[in-house]
Amino acid sequence: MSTAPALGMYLPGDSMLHRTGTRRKMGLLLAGGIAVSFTRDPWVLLVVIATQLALVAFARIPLRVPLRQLRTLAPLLMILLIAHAWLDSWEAGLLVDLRIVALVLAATVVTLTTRTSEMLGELEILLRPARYVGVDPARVALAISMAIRFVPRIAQKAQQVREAQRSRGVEKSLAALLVPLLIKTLQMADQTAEALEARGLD
Amino acid sequence: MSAASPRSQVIPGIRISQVTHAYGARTVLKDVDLRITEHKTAVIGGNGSGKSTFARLINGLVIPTQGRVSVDGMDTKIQGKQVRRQVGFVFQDPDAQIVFPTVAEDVAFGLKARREPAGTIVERVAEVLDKFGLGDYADHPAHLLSGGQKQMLALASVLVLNPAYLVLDEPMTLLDLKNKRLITEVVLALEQPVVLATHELDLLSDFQRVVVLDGGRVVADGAPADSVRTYRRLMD
Repeated sequence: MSTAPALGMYLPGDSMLHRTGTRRKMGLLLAGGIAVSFTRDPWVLLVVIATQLALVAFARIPLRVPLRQLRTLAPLLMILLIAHAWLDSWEAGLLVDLRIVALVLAATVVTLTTRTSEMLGELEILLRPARYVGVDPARVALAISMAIRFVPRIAQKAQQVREAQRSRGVEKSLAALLVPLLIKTLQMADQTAEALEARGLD
Repeated sequence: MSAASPRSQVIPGIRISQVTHAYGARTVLKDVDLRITEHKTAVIGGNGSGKSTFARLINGLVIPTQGRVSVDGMDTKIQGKQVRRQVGFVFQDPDAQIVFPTVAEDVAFGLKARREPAGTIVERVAEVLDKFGLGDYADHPAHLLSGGQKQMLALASVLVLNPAYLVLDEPMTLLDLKNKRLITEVVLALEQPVVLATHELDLLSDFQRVVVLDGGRVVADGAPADSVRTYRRLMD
């Protein structure tokens, strides 16, 4: 059985980072995120990135895990770099890219060392005031959790559809991928709604 | 069911009274009328015979277009929520049933929804995961489990709530022989009455009653050997 985690998913461990309180980690992420969003010094961003990578090593998580997650961002980073270079300057593009990498790495460090249920527990507490406007925090937390759970499932379904298309000689067709994937996703949503009802959520 | 049960005052068992069910113009169950009081009951039939709809009737996921279904005297139409608390349901595809990213979180979900104390949840989850051989996978991403482990997790997530009955809709269809046997062993050892919709005829010898559906009608209802014989004749 593979032990590779899905995008940003918790990796069990007993490092100090794993044991640090969820509220503290989320608070630091928020504060760090705000600071990173406002800095214009690329050296500061490089130091933040290096620190995050050191934290990953400190949490005894293989470096390839966050790097693989960053790789999925590569096309977006490239587009932003080119767009900024064209409209402004290469330096501005580089600054934006470094900022995104720093933010994603920081979020990755938190999600890899914190159980989803613990983060959702904190989110539920944060959302409590929303009850007064008719929002049920527990439902919001459940919806987020299911969205996280659905990411690998949809990726799996997309892979199945792609393989089925290839076996029938269709190498690259967005419509041939998207239409069956949409149908499968809607079927999956239907089944999950039924399962939630069966498990006592009305 | 124990005599001390709070439901001892009501008629125990599952009652399906004169049920007909249709999805639009397509009738999937016709004049089904039976009471289930046996500890292990199986429902068999060909594809499209109505097995899955029959299973879904019992915990109120499907409300019959005609007739009535009750569990321990509770009508699934009127008391659906209470019925679902008494009747656990396991689906064919465990992926449809697992809603949380990790194993322990998914098992804890039902207990949290019932607002059990945090300490009880931790204890019960650990106990159930150990019982189902998933103790070492508590923090493991659910989507990375094998097919057999996923079905075991789906079963654990239902049984952690101690339902009075368990209904399983073809839970072994996606499993290999080893996992089919494993799940069968677990199901047969359960204390609660079980209704199993299945195609696995080899696993029925330990059941007390086997109902055969064909075209939405009950065509045989009795001991496994007799019912399986009828089913094989239908399939020839």
